[in-house]
Amino acid sequence: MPANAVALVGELAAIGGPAAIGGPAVLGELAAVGEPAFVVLGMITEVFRYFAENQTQLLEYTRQHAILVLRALVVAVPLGVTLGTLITYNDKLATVVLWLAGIMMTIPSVALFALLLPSLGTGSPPVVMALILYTQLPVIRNTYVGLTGVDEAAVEAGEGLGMTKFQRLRKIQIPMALPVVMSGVRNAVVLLVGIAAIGEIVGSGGLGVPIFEGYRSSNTVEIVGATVALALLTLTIDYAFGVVEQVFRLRNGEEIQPNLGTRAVRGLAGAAPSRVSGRDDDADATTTTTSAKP
Amino acid sequence: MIEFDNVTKQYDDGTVAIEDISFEVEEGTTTVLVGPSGCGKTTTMKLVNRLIEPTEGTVYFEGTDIEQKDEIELRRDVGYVIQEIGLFDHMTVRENVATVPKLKGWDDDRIRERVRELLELMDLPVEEYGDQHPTELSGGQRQRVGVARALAADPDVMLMDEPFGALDPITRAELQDEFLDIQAELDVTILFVTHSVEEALKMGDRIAIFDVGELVQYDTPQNVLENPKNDFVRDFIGQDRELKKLQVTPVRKVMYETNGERLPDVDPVAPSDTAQIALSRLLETDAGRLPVARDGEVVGVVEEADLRGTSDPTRGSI
Amino acid sequence: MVSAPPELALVPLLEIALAPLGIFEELPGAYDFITSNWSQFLHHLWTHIKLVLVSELLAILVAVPLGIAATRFPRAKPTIKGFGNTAQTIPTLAIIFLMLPVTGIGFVTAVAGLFVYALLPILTNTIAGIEDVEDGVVEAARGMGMTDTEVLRKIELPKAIPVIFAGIRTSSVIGVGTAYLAFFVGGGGLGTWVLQGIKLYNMEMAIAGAVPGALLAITLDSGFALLERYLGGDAQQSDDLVSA
Ligand SMILES: Nc1ncnc2c1ncn2[C@@H]1O[C@H](COP(=O)(O)OP(=O)(O)OP(=O)(O)O)[C@@H](O)[C@H]1O
Ligand SMILES: [Mg+2]
Repeated sequence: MPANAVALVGELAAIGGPAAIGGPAVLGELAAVGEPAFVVLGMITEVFRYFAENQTQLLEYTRQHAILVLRALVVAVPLGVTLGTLITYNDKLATVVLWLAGIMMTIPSVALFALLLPSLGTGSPPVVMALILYTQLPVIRNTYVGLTGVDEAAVEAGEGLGMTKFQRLRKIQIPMALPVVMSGVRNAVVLLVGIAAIGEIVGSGGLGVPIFEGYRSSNTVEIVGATVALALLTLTIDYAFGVVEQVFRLRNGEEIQPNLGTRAVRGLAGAAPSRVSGRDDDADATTTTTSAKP
Repeated sequence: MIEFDNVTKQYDDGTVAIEDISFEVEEGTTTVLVGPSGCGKTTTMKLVNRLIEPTEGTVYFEGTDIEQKDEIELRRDVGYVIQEIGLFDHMTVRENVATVPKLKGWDDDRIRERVRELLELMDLPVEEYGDQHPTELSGGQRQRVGVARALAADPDVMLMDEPFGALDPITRAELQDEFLDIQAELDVTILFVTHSVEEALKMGDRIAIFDVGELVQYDTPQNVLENPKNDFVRDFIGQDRELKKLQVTPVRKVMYETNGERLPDVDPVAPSDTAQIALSRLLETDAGRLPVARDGEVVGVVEEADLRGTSDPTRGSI
Repeated sequence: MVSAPPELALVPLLEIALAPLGIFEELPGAYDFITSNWSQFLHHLWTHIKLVLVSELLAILVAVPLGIAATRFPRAKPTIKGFGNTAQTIPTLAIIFLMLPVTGIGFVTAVAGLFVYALLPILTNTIAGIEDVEDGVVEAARGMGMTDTEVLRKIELPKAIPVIFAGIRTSSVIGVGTAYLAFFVGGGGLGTWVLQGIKLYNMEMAIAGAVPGALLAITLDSGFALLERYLGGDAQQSDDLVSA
């Protein structure tokens, strides 16, 4: 996937090989090579060199970026889950809250940063605030859908067997809804990583910094390099949250093919071996830990 | 044990599900509610564990108005098998069955022992099935887990809403037989819902036949067959009333004692077998008469004419 | 969860929670700014709309046939889907910046950048919409003797249209947001005021550019929702409006 991303960006740059001559001389030296294949190869080499030379700085930007997103999530997820749970008790409230969260979602991020600027100033606060707001729709909606979509027969059985309302929520609805909530968080996170990059227009820091720097100094390699780092961060976070989601699903007994990360996590946690037998050829990382399965 | 006293239930949307229903379920018996779809069977059943409150009338549980009882306590003391099975798919089979004992705060050892015992009884050994999730089971196995879950905390009363619905006839008959055996051991009062007359006749000590919203006849299987109260009951039972009677009549009731005469050399039937089995055996062997044996000892004879006699109201029982 | 980063402690939560309300103080100033720069405002707004409109039309023209092709040629599908997924991880900002050396400064570059990003939701939804048509229905149609083209035209496309439409809705709302970034490549639009306003710390100017765009996005989304309801789809708000 990351390799694809590099290639893709390279191709995008390559399309304009000859046409770029009239434009700013950013790609000048590369375009001069002429053959698209060489441009792509050249670009890849340049990006690797950029990585090697700016390692520490890039890591620092990545760290800042991840912290922006995490700060938002720490507030946004509990808030969204609480709201999503509350609105299951009142249909009217649900409509209103979901509608408002939906409206939030349509506000362009550039506009939202600007709107938050007078009260929160520049730097990370307006960006974290915007990210919190953008997280609400996917989390509230998925919590709501997850909780209300729970098998009604199971909830009624719980009631018939003498569970209180709270016990039904805790023992049936929440465990069954968790994977759905998790996938909402996951969607949100992918979104947030991208939006946070634009946050640099109000000075949030993070990977937006090298992207804008590349723009200002007409340094395509820096833009591509920072973009690749951003894509890697997105994929990593997405994968990590995917693992959490899968662990919840497996615990609920769903039939899924767990990915390597999930199996490793479950193995390390000493959890019951997955019932979905992994194929032998990719069991290398987990053979020792899943041997409990006959 | 459970008494319905002029109970009416009208839902919020105006549907009158049952109207002015009265009957009593006696302790230790199985009462079957039977009737066409939408006639109010499930509604009647849910009134007992207060999933639904009556619009008018009263339901008594051991002589007390159930409205006086704490609904949560009541539900934990009454086993409930819901129509849609409603297993908790996110829990294992073991955890499903342990639900009510856990709610009641039993200690872990007792719960473990009870779960093992019940799953054994349901032919789902805990070693093999205990850690599976319900999604991995067949329809019949799921229904068994549903029954085990309802039985878990030793309830005095079981509410079973079409517990064997949606099964193929063979599995269904097997589960019915198993449950009859289990019930004999358990000594529990059962309210059972089905829309199959055959199942009602087989499982019930008493049968309550419902037409849309009303209780038409409440009687023993024999009486329902012999004296259907009106055309609705007659139609509901079907054209093969005589055959069904054979089904619910034990051989014991139609045999006579031997006086040392020679009997045909064919497999005997047991006094507890149904007249239907005896007739079938007679048709197979062409013998005209069959020995009746208990524990290998011949105790009587049954003749084709006697079996036919089951259709003769004047002979009733010998 | 990961332990909260130390910075979190520095954030006074309540103050932050009430912060969005602060913009109401700024609204009168922004209003005055718009009225006193009316013709300039109209120009920016119109450019903004044109950017969205042109890129969106191009994206529809490309993405719908591409999506159909993906469902017709199973061998091409992974490539097309992979392209879609990869493109999603590249931020809008980067796409627009990277168009710069290719097409130079101006409206065309902005449209090209917007176009690339607008493709994705339409592409994904076209594929999903067609694939979601039940196998049984398609089978039945085949059984009646329909050719592949007839199945596509008479069964799959009509059923997929609400889903494709939802993709177009998502894509255009995102477009309104992305068009703010056109300023960076000389494409004009409302971003001109917002980004200059931020740079000069001229709040009136920034908000005068931000509010109309937000309203535009909301109106567009609601308009599409009404249209969808009118067409008989279940108008659901998309989770992934991205709001770049
Ligand atoms: N919650 C409800 N609100 C409104 N009407 C209801 C509700 N539950 C049941 N009904 C209606 O009450 C009537 C009796 O329903 P009930 O579920 O008791 O029937 P049933 O005999 O169990 O049917 P089945 O054999 O199909 O399970 C039906 O007309 C049904 O539509
Ligand atoms: Mg029912």
